[in-house]
Amino acid sequence: MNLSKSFGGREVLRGISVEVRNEIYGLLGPNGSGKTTLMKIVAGILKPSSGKVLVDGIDVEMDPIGVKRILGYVPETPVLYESLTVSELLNLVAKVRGLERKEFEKKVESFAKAFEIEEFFDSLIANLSFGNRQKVAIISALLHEPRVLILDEVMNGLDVKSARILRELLFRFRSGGGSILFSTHIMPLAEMLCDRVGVINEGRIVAEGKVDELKEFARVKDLEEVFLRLTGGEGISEILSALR
Amino acid sequence: MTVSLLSALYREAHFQMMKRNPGISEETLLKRIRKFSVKKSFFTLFSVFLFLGILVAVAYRDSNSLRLSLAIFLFLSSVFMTSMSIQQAAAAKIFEPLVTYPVPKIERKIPILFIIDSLTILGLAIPSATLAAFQDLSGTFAYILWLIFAILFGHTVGMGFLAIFGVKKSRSHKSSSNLLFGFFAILLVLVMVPGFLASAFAEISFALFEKFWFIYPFTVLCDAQKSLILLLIYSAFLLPAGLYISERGVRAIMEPKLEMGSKVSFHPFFGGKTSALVLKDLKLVSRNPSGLVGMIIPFLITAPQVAIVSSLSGGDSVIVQSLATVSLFSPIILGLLTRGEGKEIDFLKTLPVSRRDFMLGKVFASGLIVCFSSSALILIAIAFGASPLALLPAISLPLAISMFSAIFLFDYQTDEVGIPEMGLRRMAVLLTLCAIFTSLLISPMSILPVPACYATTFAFSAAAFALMFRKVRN
Repeated sequence: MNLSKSFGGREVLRGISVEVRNEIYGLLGPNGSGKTTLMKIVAGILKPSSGKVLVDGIDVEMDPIGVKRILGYVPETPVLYESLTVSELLNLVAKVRGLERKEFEKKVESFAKAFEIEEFFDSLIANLSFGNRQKVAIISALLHEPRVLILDEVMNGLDVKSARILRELLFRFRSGGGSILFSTHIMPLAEMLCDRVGVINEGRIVAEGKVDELKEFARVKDLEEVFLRLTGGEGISEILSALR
Repeated sequence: MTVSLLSALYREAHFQMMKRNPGISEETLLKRIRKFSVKKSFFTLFSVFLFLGILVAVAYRDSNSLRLSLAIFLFLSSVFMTSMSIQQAAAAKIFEPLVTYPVPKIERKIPILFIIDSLTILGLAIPSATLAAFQDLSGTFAYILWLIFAILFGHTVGMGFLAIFGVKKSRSHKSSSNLLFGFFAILLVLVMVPGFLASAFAEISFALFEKFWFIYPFTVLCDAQKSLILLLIYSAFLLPAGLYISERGVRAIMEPKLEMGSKVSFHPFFGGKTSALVLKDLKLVSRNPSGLVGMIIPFLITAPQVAIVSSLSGGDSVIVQSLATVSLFSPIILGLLTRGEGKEIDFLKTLPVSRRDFMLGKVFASGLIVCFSSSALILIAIAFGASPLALLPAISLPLAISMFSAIFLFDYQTDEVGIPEMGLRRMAVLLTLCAIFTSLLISPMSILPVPACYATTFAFSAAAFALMFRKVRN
């Protein structure tokens, strides 16, 4: 609520307030608009310069460990221990999260089967392709059955089948009462997946609502047009003609 | 274009190598890479070998034995350095951007990249060759040419290995242990061969020379004229063979072998949060060649001293001193492990890990690593007649000092996982405090007789560890 964040005098977030409640909330914005910073603050990785974040009623600044227990976070670029094998990394996550052995083993096997990474259990993370790293990061964020998910460009690098499986898992997660903060640059995906979207530009939420509401408000056919209008991208035809 | 391409790749290869060194923080890494220059890097490494060369030239005055030893050593080092640098560069994927660019004759350019570092080993031979030049200038000239040949020959053999066995795309832990083994094998050759040849087997090596004077490395002992003719003949074979093998080697580099996996079943481990963090640190260290070498150094420094002195009367005082010295590596190892987290600490930040958990993981991991060295040390001493009770403080002392260091470094009462400030001044203060703390813990050893002193030191350090652990837990 009313979040602000500055890096070396540059204000990246300017008093943002967002509420996500049992829904998939799409955070849309151009590069450098503040999406990742906002998500990192909610996940307790960065501290806000001012403002407050409550996750399931828990104040992130007061009890970051408590928040991380109920939260799953997948960053834009998965940063994983490259010298560990997939199996070792997932074991680390399970032990740190205090998961019960049998239940954890069953979950890892079913997720690995769904995302087709069984053959990589003994491979070092350094050896994995970007897409497979992303899958490992997704599994490690879902293992403990979180109540809240923060997914930053999570579909990046995923193959069609895995993207479809993840989409279904996210719908199921929401139906089970979970809340998802989801960022993407792919507008059709946001239209398909999100219950509500918020458009962030230069550190401010410039529009928020259901996709249909936004389209109706802007009197355009698709979300891409809404996005371009709100973020100053109308001049595309002039730019393209200059490139010719 | 070739020079700028090669210097960019050389810089990138070194950047990736530094990046994997847990002793270099991200900030230092960026500073060093900004100031990086190929010439500076070459001459720094060359100076190190030059310094070693001076020591070797002073230590071994038998010039023929030394010539033969260096001819073998430079060849082996070149094989090792070529294969190691290529494996590391391929693992860091520095060649991948090249695939997308139309770089002509790439198979001729990439091998040059790996000769640069190999050529620095020549520094090892320069001092002894300079001394020899006063007596036989033309012979020394031929000898230097042979050494350059040895480096190029070793480089070709290294490329040949890669052409036959391929370059793994991985940074597999198996290849790291091979590299480590290779490192120590070369160290052994460096230390042993000159002494070996100069003493008992000098006669054998010269008998072999008389029979096989035309075979490398015996060719370096021939007179200047014969030596140069042989060198020309050898070069006539090496040049085309080298070009062909290099081409095949580069192909192996550009198309690394893909490890095709089969379905593997998942095996969960036992243990809790702290043990998972300790296990993670130990695995990361064991798979990093530079980290692994750093971890064994305390043992390498003190082991020979213990082995020599513990068999003499009054050897117990040396055991105590060595134990204290090794234990004092705890804060250094703790620092290395903590800094070694690098940017991956962001992953830990997404998990419910408090700074206290993080700190305890580092305490046990660094304590265990130093325990390994101190226990190995005491086992050597026991083999030479020391009391087995000395093993007790060998385990408790490093753990107590690790915990002491961590309490000093970490502000463990905050919740956020993070790397504490570990500047030079702070580390110097920490080392001084650790030295005082260690002196207090080992004080029974200077008052009580053996073996009671070992038991008492164990009791002191174990109690200190338990008290500090309790303080951290609460």
